Amino acid sequence: MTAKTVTETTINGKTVNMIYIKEAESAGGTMAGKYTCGRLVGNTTTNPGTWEEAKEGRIGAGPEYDESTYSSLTEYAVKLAADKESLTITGNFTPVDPE
Amino acid sequence: MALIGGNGGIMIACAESNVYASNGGHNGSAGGNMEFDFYLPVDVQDTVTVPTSTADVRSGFDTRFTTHYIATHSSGSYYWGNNWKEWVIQRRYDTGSSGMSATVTKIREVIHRGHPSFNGGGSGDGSFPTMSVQDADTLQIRCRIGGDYWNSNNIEIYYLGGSAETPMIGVGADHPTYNYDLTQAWSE
Repeated sequence: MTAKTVTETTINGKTVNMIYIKEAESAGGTMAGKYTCGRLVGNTTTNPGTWEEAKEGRIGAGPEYDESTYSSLTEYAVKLAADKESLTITGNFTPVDPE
Repeated sequence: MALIGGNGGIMIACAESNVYASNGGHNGSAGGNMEFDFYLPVDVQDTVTVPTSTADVRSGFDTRFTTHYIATHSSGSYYWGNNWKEWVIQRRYDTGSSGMSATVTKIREVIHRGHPSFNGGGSGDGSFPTMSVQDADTLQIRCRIGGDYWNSNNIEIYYLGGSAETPMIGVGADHPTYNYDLTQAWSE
């Protein structure tokens, strides 16, 4: 579950209530890429919504991570990204199933 | 739109959720993962008889031992994004017990999630597409990709290359237990 909800805050004048890894290359047990924090606007059962980015940044992870706590390297990377931005993860973002 | 063949690769399978749904794949409605099987090209090499003369470098080779490299490109336009993965699939033959076994391992991934829910990244674990061995004898591989909106997902599978008589050239099937001490799970 790579998209996480976070305690709402403001970065660069924009609302942030989610963070996820938007680009990544993974090989050999490591990954490197970019995270994005912002919010999803207009996500309904008929509209996937638009991502409004407040800030992006680079993040890398691996090869070692706590597999008992994180289900994947990406899961661990999003935690590292949240820590980097001083964001508090509150849960997993659950999209609605389109009708 | 993909330019099939334009990059010199061989596309061995593809799926588009619109077509798939209209053929009963996931009943034409939104949601639900797509799943289909495809085969790797082992049918010819499985019939090859290698020379028995030890003067021939091919003697003693077992063509049931194979390694194949494939790549997948999947994309979505509802929860949008792109994903490229490279995989290695290996098959071995164990004389002593279970016969054919195969394993599939992801070796590289590049992903762009334009939407946080692309590729099962919202409520799912974000690991689509997945591959699993359905039948080692025929190297039947099962591919599964995410569903979300009913006509918004597609995938192409490219054959990058393969070889008979690998993973370990020349060792044959007599001593598989110590010649194939790999950590991946092998399926029949």
